[in-house]
Amino acid sequence: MSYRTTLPPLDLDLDLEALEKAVALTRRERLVRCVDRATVRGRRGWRDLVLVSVLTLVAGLVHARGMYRSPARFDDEGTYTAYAWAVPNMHKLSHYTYWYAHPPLGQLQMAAWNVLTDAFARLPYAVATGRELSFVYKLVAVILTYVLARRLGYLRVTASIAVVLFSLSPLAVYFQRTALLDNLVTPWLLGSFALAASPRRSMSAAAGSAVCFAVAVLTKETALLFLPALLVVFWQHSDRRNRRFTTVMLLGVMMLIGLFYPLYALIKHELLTGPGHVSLQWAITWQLSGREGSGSVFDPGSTAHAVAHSWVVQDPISCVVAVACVVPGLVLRRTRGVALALAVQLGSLLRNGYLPYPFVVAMIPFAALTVAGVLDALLRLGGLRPTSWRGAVPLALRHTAGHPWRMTVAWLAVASIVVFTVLAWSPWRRGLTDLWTRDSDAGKASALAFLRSTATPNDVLVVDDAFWVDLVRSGHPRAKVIWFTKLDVDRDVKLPGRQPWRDIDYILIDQQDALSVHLNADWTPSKDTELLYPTLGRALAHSSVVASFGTGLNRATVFRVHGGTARKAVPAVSRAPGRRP
Amino acid sequence: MLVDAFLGGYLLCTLLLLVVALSTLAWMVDSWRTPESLAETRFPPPDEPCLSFSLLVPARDEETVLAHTVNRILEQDHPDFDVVIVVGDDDDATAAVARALAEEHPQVRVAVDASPQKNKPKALNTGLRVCTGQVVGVFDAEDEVAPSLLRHVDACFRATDAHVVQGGVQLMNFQSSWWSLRNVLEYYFWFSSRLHLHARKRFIPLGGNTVFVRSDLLRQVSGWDPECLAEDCELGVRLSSRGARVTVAYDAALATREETPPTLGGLFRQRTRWSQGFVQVLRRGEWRRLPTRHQRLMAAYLLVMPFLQAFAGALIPVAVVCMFVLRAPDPVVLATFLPLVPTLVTIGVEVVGLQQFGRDFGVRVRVRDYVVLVLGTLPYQIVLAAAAVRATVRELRGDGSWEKTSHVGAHRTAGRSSAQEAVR
Repeated sequence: MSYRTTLPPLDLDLDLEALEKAVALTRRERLVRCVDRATVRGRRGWRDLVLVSVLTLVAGLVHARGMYRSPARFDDEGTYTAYAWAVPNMHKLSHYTYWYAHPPLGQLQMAAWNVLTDAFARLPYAVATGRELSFVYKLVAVILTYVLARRLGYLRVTASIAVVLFSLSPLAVYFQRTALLDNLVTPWLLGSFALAASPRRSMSAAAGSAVCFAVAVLTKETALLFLPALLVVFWQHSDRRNRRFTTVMLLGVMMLIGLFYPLYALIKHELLTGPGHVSLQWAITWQLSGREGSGSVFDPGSTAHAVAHSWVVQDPISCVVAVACVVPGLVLRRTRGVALALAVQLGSLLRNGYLPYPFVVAMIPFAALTVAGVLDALLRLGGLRPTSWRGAVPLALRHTAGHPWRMTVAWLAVASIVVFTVLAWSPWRRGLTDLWTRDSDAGKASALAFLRSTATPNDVLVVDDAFWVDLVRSGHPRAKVIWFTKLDVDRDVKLPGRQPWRDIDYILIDQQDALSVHLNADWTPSKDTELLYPTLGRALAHSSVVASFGTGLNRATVFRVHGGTARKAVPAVSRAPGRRP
Repeated sequence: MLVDAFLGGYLLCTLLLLVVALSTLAWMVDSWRTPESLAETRFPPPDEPCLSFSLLVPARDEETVLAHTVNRILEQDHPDFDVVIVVGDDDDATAAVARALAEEHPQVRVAVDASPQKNKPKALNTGLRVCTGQVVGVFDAEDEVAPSLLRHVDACFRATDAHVVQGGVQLMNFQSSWWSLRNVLEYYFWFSSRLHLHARKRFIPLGGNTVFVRSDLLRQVSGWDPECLAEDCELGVRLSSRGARVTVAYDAALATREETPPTLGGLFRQRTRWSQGFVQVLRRGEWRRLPTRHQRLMAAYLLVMPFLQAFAGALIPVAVVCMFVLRAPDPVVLATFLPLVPTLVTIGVEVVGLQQFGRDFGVRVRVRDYVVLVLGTLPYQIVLAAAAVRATVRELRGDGSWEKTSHVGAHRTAGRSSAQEAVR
């Protein structure tokens, strides 16, 4: 420490011009400093930059190839697409009554994308707009997965493995392609975690993390399950010196933005349950306890089992490895946060409540990060820390020489990578090839085309949600295109006749819908159908199949409703409906 | 049509409120923005003192507290400083105390201000004429100055090549009343965080005491503005616009301890004076000479801040009425709630700040205090807003008289009792 020993001569120039020159100089200096800093950062991070660019490119190509053809579009995708369509076209959050099924930011993001890019006009069918946005969000999520892994302290190689698991597993690609809210949540969640793990530990990072998390929750409320994990990551990466302030920033911003959702309901006088209107309170109660549970995952006869099975068959080895890594992940400090996220999700699988088909989407990034993190720990323990690929092998040999246990761990780590690759190779190749080449959506596309060419704008059409926007966009009046699920449920959907089913002209549903409304194998309505969906049941009973396209659960069938005698109703199939695999 | 225009205007106001609330929050937590930035706000470690100091202590009707203050200042462990007490020619009681101190201590001198209308800047200018040190420092008559402050300031001048060094000032009697608590916290955030940001941006309204200026510079700019009600702010703006380098350094142990005004009325008058002083500085337009647009914008924004706060206060009842009466589209209604987010986060930050204040200064903060802090937010804003309005009225009327804050020494008991309380 050596300061001056006296004051320097007074250098202040009261001349304004000189002052301006001095300021201009500092401005130039600042620019130079900025460029310097960028160069330093680039020099230090070029490997990361190259890696993440390549990974994003590969993930993007794998995801995009055939993403409009497989999987086939289905009703939930159509639901959100229609909500998003209603935002600019009807200035409402839904074309039917918005009943707080999910917070509204999801459809607002989709609507913004559609408006900004004119997506409906560009793409082959309406649900494709949501799929396109899912694709864009996937690219962001890939980058954020890598960033988060690096910020958690993973080696480059294990961060890349996390990205590969997250983005290339056939299970992941299948679900990440769909136009579901869950796919919009992923990058916001990852962003929130990445900011919580920010090495600067700044107030703005805390605020940013809170904003991202709030957006995630306001996109789909299930993101709230990740709060404990986020807090663990945040706490691990915070600093004693400003922790109080960053914590209050994180929690405050997150909570206050989140409160805008109930505030919205309050403004609409729909916060609390009351007669004659929907309410947030009712929606939450229904979601937590009102829905029929899906049964135990371990009960082979349950819906939950069917759903979970439909996930596991697509990538069994990854699923097993992910579950196996939860406990070591929780023990290791580095992976504790992401492992906790995965553990909470797996835990809620076991709670035997209602299990939504795309529930797995939110688990995938955290499963990938947990698996890669455990592998990372093994590599480190074995002394394998390749700083550059060239030096990796001699370095590893030097490190492990004379340390038998280290050698064992190192070989174990390498062997586990090899074994995993061997085991996963064929299911991944098969799954991805299928996703790239098979046109699962062909049947539905043909059914839609058939209905478009057959029905006139005066006809009343009852259809699967996935076709709604396409039919409305091709000129059918909104009031005459009806979701089959709303027919006997929503006050907004009221057919004028004394026998409302007689007003219906065509019905277009797929095999999955047929299972949902308990149709018999020969497409006749069962007792359950008539009980739960009286109008639809009657209409189906008085209809005949005019066209049917596609196979299996993706088979889409068009019915023509006519008067005359009803087809015979037989007792319902007792097995609860599964989801499409 | 009319409703649309009203809605548009209302949305604009909301946007303005949002900006005010966001910037208030961001500036308030500036020092804590990263763990490292907090370390940068500290004084550099002291070395052997090399500079000479003249410390100005303007005193008016301060006969009860002056002797104690000066005796504390004389306890400085710095080898080369003198104290200049400035008294008015009409204030015999204070003058007598000052003379007695001068007789007792060779380092103390007395300067008599003979200007017909007395105020602080005139007293400071009178004192400046007899200053001999390389650096001039200012203390108020009730200040409790840390004994090693000058050594640190000395080192700070030489370590940072500063023209001005601003030390910390902290009100201490946070348990005297609900508003004193808020007042104390205001000082805490101002000196430990906000001023550091202004120094970095090279536009800074200086504080009224514990401010040290190179005497050659001070003479070059002819000292303080004798007619300004916020002479400290004015000097800061003037020096900033001439490109002066200001270092702000803060250590709780080195902060000068003070007391809040004794009554709410006193606080109200003090705030009126400050707000009016800000208007005067704004009207004088010295800030327009600041070299960059960013600085000018910041200066104008800072100087109208009391009025923006008043405006925000006035808008609260309007907002409440609109919430229930106005049939606006839902997104508009939601948007009007946006400024609440940073505002409520600010209150959260204040709660944490109070906790941090208690730690830094070794005082015990009770649960009651936190409750008072939160509940006092709105009433305190209203007091500030009223003061801003009164300031405008006074300025428009051309009434520039100086309403002095009186002192009773509450901070001394507060500062002392903390240790005793801890023992209990």
